Amino acid sequence: MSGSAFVSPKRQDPVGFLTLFYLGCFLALAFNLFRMQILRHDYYLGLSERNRLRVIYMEGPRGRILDRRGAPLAQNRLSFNCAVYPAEAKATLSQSARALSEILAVSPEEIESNYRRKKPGIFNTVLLAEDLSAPEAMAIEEKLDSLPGFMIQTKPQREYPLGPAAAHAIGFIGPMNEEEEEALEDYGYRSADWIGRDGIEKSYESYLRGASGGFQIEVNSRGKMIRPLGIKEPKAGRDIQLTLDAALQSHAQELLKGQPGSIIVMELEEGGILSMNSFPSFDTNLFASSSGRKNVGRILTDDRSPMMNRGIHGRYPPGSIFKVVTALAALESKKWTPSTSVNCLGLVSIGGTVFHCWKEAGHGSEDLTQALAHSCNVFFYRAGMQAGIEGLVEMARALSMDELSGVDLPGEIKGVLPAKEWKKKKMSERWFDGDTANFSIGQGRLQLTPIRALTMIATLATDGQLLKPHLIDKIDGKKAALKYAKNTMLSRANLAAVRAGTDAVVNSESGTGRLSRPKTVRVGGKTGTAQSGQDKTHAWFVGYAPETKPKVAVVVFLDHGGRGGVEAATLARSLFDKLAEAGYL
Amino acid sequence: MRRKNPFLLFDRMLFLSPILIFLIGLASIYSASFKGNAPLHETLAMKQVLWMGVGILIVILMARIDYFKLQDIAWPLYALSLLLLVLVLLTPARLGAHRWVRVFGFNFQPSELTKLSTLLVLSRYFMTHRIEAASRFEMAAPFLIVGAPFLLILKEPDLGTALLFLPVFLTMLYLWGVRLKFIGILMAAGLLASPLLFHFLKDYQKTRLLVFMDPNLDPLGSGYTIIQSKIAIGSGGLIGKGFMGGTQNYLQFLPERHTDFIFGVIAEEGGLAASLAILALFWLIVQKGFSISRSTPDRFGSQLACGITTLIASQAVINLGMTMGLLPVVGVPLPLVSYGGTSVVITMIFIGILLNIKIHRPLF
Repeated sequence: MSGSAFVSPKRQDPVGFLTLFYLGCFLALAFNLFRMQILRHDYYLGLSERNRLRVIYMEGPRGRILDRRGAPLAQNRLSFNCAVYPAEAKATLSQSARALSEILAVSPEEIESNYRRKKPGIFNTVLLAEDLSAPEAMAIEEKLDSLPGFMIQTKPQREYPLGPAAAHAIGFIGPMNEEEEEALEDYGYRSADWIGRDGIEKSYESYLRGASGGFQIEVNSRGKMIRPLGIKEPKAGRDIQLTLDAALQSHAQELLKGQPGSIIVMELEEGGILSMNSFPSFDTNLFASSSGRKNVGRILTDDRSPMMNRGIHGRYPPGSIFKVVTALAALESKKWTPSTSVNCLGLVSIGGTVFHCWKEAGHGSEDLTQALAHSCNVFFYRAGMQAGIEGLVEMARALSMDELSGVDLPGEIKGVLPAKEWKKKKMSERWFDGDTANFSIGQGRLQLTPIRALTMIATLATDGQLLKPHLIDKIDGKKAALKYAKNTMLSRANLAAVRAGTDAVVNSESGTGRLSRPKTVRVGGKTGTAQSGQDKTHAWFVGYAPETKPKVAVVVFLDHGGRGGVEAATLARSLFDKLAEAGYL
Repeated sequence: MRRKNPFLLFDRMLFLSPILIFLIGLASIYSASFKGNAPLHETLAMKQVLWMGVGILIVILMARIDYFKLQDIAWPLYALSLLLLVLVLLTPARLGAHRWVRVFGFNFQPSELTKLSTLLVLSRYFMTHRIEAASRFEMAAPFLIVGAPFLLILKEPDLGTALLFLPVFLTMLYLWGVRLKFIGILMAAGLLASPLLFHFLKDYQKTRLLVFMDPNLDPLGSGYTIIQSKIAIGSGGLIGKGFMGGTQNYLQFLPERHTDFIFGVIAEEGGLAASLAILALFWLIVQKGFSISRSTPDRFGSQLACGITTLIASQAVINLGMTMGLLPVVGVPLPLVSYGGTSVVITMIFIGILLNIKIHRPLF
C-alpha cells in the first residue's frame, strides 16, 4: 500500500505556500515592533526612564547554629547599609552628601568620591556605607525625604559569638567564586549570595541556607513605592543544633592558648563531639563581613596555618599511644597472653640493629599491664615482632585507621599506614624488621590524625564499638544524628587486658600518665611522645573517663608540644576536671 | 549541464545579508557585555569575530564543492551527531545542563551539528524515497530519524533547540508530498501530547511556560525577563537611544542580554530602524532561500534548501516573538546575533550550502 491517504495530489508550488506563511510571520513581527516602538513608545519609555519597576530582594535569613543546650554558635544580626539609586540622586548629590556627612561623621567629599568610585550593582543601586549603627540608620531614614535616591537597606549579617574558640568546627560563610556561581545558579542562588566555606557552615549548607525572595514594586520618580506588583516570600534557613558544648569548647580553647595543637572530646553513647579545638585559630567574624574580609590576608598567609583544623586536617606520628594497637595485635595473634612477660634491659637487637628503650637502665621484667603503664619500648618491639607487620596492619585496619572517621566536617584527611606495599611503592625499598619495630611504637612513617587517635581509644573504652564521630544533633528540632557504630569484633578479654594497662598508665604510681589524674574521677589513658623530626617532640594523650563505665573519650595533641606524660597529660587533667564539673562524667 | 565559473552565480546579497546581521549583532554584544576597562581583545565581541572568521572561511570553501557530495557524508555525520549527543549526556553538567563537549579546548554544542546532519539525512531520504511508492515503514522512517536527536536534545535539557526540529520536519514532510490535512493532524496530536511532554520538563522550563501565560506568576524570575525585554524594545522608539545608550541594557535590567535576549539591546539602542533592518535582512535570507529551493530541480537540493531556510526562519521568528512577549521563553538564540560560537559557525555553513546549491544545481 502506498499510504495514499497521506499523499496529496501533485501540488503546484509548495514552497510558495511556505514563503507566504513566513512572510505573514515576519509582517506580524514588523507590525508588533511598530506597535511597541511607535504607538506604545511613550508608555515603555516612561517605564524605562522613570525606572518605575524595581525588584527589591529580601534575603531569607540563614539558619542558626546552636550548641547542645541552644546557645548560639552562629546567628544573624541585622545590619544597615546606605544605598543610592544614581539616576535619582545625581541632580542633588552634593546637597545630599552634605546632609549625610552630618550623620555619618565623614566628609561630604568622601561620600561623593565613594559614589563615583563604585559601579552600580544589580538593579542599579550603589552601596555608599555599610554596617551603620542603628541610630545612624534611623537618622538617615528620618531624612530620606530630603535625600532623593537614597535608601536604607537591611541585610542579615552572620555572627559567630565564640569567634576563634570554635572557628574550625563552625566554619564561616563567604562569597561564591565564578565556577560556583554557574554551578549553583539553577539551585536558586544569586551571584551576591554567600555560601558556607568551611566547617559546619559548609557541611550543612543546604539546610542552613534560606531561599531569597523579594517583591517587585512600582515607584514614583522620587523612588517612593506606589504599589507592589508581585511578591515572593523569602524562606528562612533551618536551625541546626550541634552536640558541641559552647562552654566546654571555650574552656578547651583556653587550655590550648599559645600551644599549637588539637583537643577533641567525644561522648561515647552516640559519638557526639562535645568539643573540637585547634590552635592557632582565627576570628571567623572577620570572614563573615565584607569589611572584615579586607583584613583576612594576614590569616591566609600566616605560616602557622591558623585555618587548619589540626584534629582532622593534620596527620602526625602517634608515638606510644599506638602501643594500644600493638598490644591488641599481639594478643589477637594468640601467641601472647596478658601475662606474657618481657625482660627489658634497656635495649634490644632486631634485624642486626640495636633499638633502645626510652629508659636506658631498662624496665626489668614486665607483663602487659606494667609495660603499658611504663610505655616500655622493648616490650612493644617484641610484641610487634610477634604479631608481625601483617598483624599490626590488620589490627590498625580493624580500627579503621586506614579510613576517614567520617566526621561531618569538610576536608578530613586519612592517616598513613606504611606497610610493605606502601614502602615498595613510595620508596622502592623492601620492608625490614626494623621497620616493624618502629611501627610497633608508633614511629617511622606511621601517621594518624588526632580524630583517628580518638576513635582508637573510644573503641577500647566501649568494648570494641567503633563509633562514627559527628557534630550534628538536630535539624529544626528533629533528631538528625543517627548513631552509627561498627562492631570491631575484637575479643572482649583482650580489650579488657589492654584496658587494665591504660588504667595503670594513669592510676599506678609509676604510670607515665599519672599527671592526667583528675580530682574526683578515675580515668584511663595512654600517653605518647613522638619524634617530630625537630628538637621538640609531639605530645599526645588519649583517654577515657570514668574508668569503669566510660562516658567520654578525649584526645589531646600538642604539635611540637613536649612530652605526652607532662604537657599533654597535665592539659588532659584540667580537661577531665572540667568535664566532671560540667556533669559529663 | 553545469556552469563553468561558479562565481558568476554566487549570490552576493545572500552572502552579505548574514554578514550585516552579524555586524549589528556584534555591536550589540559589545554593548551588552561592556565591562568598562576590559581590553578589547578580551571582550565577548572579539571572540565572536573569531568565530565569524571561521564561518566566512567555510562559506567560501563550501562554494567550491558540489553540494551533491554532501549526500555521502549525511549518514556518517548523523551517526557522529547522535554519538556526541549521547556523549554530552555523560559529561558533567555545566550551567545545569549537558549541552557542551570540550573539543580542542573549545566548548562545542553537539545539538548545533545535529541540526545540520539531520537536515542532510532527511533531504537524502526524501530524495531516494518517493512518497508515492513508500511502504508503511518507509513512511515511518523519517519520524525515527528526527525522533532520536529530538529526544536526546530534550534530555540535555535544551527545549528550544529540540522544538526547532518540529517546524523544519513538518515543512519537509509537506514538501515531500504529505497532505496538509495529515500535517494538521500531526500538529493536533503533538498539542494533545504536550501535557505529557510538559511532565518531563525541568522545573524551570515549566515555570517559563506557565509564566508566558501570566508574567506575574514569577515577577522575579522568568516573568521579569519578559517584562524587562518588552520595556527595552518599547522604549527604543523610532531611532533608539544610541549605541551603548540603552538604560535597560547598561543598568543590567535585562537578563541574558548577550544571548537569547540580545534583540532587546538592538531594539533599545537602535530603535525601530535597527529592529526593522534586522527583520528585513532575515527576510532577505528567507526569501532567497525559499526561491533557491523552488528553482532547484533535484529533490535533494530542493529539500535541503527548504529545510535550511525553514530552520533559520523559525529560529528568527521564535526568538523575536519570545523577546516581544508573543511566544513562550523557550531559549532559542537569534541566529548570527546571539553570542555563541557553534551557532554562528553552523549558521554560516547553512548559508554556504544555500549559496552552493544555487551555484551547482543542475540546469535543464
